[in-house]
Amino acid sequence: MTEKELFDLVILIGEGIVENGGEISRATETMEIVAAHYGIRDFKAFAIANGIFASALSADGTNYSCKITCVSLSPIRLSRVEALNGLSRSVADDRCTPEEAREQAVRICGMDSAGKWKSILAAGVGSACFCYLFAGGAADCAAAFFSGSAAYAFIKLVAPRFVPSNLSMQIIGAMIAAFMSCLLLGLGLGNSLNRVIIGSIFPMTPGVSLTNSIRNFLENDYLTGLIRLVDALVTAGCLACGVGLAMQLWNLIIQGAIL
Amino acid sequence: MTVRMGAFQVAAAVIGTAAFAVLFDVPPKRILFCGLTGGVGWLIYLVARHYLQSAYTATLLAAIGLAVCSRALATLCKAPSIVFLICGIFTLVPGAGIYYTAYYMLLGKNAQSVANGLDTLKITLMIALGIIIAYSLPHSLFGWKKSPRTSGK
Repeated sequence: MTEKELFDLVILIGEGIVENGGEISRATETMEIVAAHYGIRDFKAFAIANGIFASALSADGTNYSCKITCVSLSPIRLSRVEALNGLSRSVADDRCTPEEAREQAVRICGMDSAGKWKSILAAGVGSACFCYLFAGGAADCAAAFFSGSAAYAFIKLVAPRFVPSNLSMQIIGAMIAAFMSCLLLGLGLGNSLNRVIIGSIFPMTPGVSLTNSIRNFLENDYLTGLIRLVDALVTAGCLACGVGLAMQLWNLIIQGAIL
Repeated sequence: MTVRMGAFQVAAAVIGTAAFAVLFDVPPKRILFCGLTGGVGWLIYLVARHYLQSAYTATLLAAIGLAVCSRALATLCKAPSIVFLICGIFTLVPGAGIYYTAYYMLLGKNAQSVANGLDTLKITLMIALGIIIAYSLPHSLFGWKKSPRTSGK
């Protein structure tokens, strides 16, 4: 394998870890371990939540090479982080040639996530459980199950084909969840609108990225912390917009302005 | 709160965390452990809130407990601890708080928005602190001979 291909392999591994929700420090460390093991000279990497900057010295020591990689902020996929972590370990233990490692890394970065229907069902169950934790009754939980699944069905089935931007996907998703909640309550399923709505949009709330961002701040990684913080705030704003719009719409329907 | 209601709540936390583990695409064989981590966190939170009467202290203790739990599970299953940690903290994270902050801001209820925002910030700080405390415990406590990521190097 040429020097360039080795350098690309190392960055591919780091990119996979950052993109799928691994810690930034884990990504940098893993890249440095793999690079050191495959004999890339003087490898240094700087990673933030949406990019990796890496440089290395050529084998004869005359040139530096540098690569800038953009990483998209995408949903967390822990199975890939785990697989990449395992790969870096087998590299460090000498159980993997560079060719094998590249093959594995490419396979891992294309690995399928859980099936669509499975995640829709999981979102519904999660919504119902969290509605219960927010002191909802059995009927509230049932309503949260249906509206949470409906919102996630939109995100998983419809949005990838028709809605290009993340922002509008979140707004419409929250609208569907809130509108379904109003509808189910109107039909007599559930008692507290607030609890049903918060349960059904819970799978979309940015609680984990907010916590990760504060953790980054406390670990002195201010840049990544700021990126994730702003991302979390924008997401929360989108959800609030969506819910607000859906409730306005519902009120209009109730008052007979539309029908 | 009665013991029976508490048991129901912990069960809901276990199932809910397991469901979110599916959404975060955790490998199927780890989902049960992720659920248990979430259950441990919520159990500590409920007990601590009952005896200490403070949601913040309870959150801190719960975060420490579940981060320790996920590190122990990481050693047991030979998987990165982040797999269990990210799922486990889902019961504690103030997803509702940040949403209410934005929602009240849109409605123009500024006082409620600020109150919710500060509350969210404090709870998030507690969780992050708890995780950092648990991660600063020595590796040898969890059965690693050396630091995990450089082992075998």
